[in-house]
Amino acid sequence: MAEVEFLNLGEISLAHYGVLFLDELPEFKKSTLEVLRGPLEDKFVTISRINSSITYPSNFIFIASMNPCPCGYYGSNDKQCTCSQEQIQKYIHRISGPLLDRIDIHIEVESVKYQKLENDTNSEASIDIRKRVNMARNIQLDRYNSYNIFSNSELTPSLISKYCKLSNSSKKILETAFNTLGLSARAYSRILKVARTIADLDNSTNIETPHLAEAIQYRNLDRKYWSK
Amino acid sequence: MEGNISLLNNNIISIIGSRKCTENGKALSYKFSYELSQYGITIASGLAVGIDTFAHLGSFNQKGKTIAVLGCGFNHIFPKENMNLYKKILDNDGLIVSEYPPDTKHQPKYFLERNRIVSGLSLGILVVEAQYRSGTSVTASLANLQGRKVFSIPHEIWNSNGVGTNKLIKNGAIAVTDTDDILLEFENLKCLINKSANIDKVKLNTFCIESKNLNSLFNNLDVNFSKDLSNFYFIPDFTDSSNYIGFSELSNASYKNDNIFFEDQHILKKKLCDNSNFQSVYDLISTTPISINEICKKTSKSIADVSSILFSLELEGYIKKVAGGYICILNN
Repeated sequence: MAEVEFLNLGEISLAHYGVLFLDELPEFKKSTLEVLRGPLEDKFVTISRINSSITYPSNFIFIASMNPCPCGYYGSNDKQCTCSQEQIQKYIHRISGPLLDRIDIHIEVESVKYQKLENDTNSEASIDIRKRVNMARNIQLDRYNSYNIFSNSELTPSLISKYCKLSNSSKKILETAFNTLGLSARAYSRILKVARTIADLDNSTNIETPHLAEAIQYRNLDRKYWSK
Repeated sequence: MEGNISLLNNNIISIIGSRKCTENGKALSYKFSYELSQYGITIASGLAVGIDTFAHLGSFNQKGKTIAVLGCGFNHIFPKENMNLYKKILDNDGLIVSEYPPDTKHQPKYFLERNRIVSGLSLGILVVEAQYRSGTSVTASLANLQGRKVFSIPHEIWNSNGVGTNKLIKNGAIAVTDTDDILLEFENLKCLINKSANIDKVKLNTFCIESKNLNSLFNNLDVNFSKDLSNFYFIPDFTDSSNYIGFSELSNASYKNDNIFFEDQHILKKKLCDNSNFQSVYDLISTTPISINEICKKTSKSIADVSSILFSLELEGYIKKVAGGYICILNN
């Protein structure tokens, strides 16, 4: 009888119910990144070897960071970017569209200047943020009590249509946003889920137009002109 | 040479500029190309990305013809993205010129070499954007040697994409802010008989809006709403203090003509001014990109408020998202 080999837990499963943070995302091997697709969607990972195949849970929050281009100064006001358009394109395309679609929020952050580090007066205290996040979490826990899920990210399509209802004008805005900003169709449910979360943070029962607008704003990398 | 060789007998003006250009530069390039070509002037450029691409695109109208000068052989069009543009130029009865054998691959020095043809073909060259040291400046000095007129668009002195053009002006190039400035130099040429013809000028924001398909957006809305609500425009409801985007009525709105929307823009603008929230955000946005964090800090608004304002401004075509933040779309 074949001896069952014990398969070690990988980073994805170690991050179960935690955070998986990948710094410098485009520097990972393409094949490694593409493996993430399944676990991000299904929340479990299946590892198959000759002797055995095993499924581990992998429900994690995925966070990654990257530079806008190889030299790191594309779009910066301080320094001129020295990369060619082709290099920038290549760098961004290391992250495939399907993977990008599975990431809810893409934000562009600017470099921090020394003076800003010194006097950042009107930033929100972490303790206040925690209160807000806990409140939103509790709202979601209550709402999904009977469905055996915890958060907006786990919403199924039928639950999305139940809990992420949009008003007519919001629907119109979403439609125009798709047409004009060049968002991918796969981003649709992601935007709704993020909008739902923003509405929860705002303690609002319905998704209002500003919530939706903010959610659409968070899909920078989807836009045609950023990658062009 | 491939295409319509007789174009070489026409009056040609070259439009050149950096490959890495700003949105502003693209719009300017398009504008000048569009307007000059309506006077029967053929536009020459180098089929590169950036300013060149938009110079070629601008000439695609009823009267316009364009010439592209390659820095490579015909079998290796560079950059590959512009393959479609290459085909489009030929479809449009344009001309492609190359001094290299068909199988020559592109090399940096070839591009510098082809610049002399770009300037040599033309009566004058228009420099839209140039950095401190660039191929564009080389072309300009070549044009000078060849006795061609050099036109240059002035830029802000902080703008790194304008250093080259400003330097040219300092060294004697003709500063241009309008197509007429160029035509004035060629007044005695017979080609400009149709000078008095009614030329439709490009408004910069018209161009930008077109490029963002906003036009189709309004057409779509037309289909959906005009039947019962023929006077309704889709604009942010600035009268509502809560910033929600809604449908607002514009009394003199009409859908008969697509362009009417652009004429009515000043009404939108006025509406924009009426709402201090939108105005304060819009005021911060200039031609240099500004990030959302900066806007939040300067207006002391929350990121949620600012992003929804930015979003509606963007849909309206007032601003545009580029790498590094938001820029405004210039009004003519």
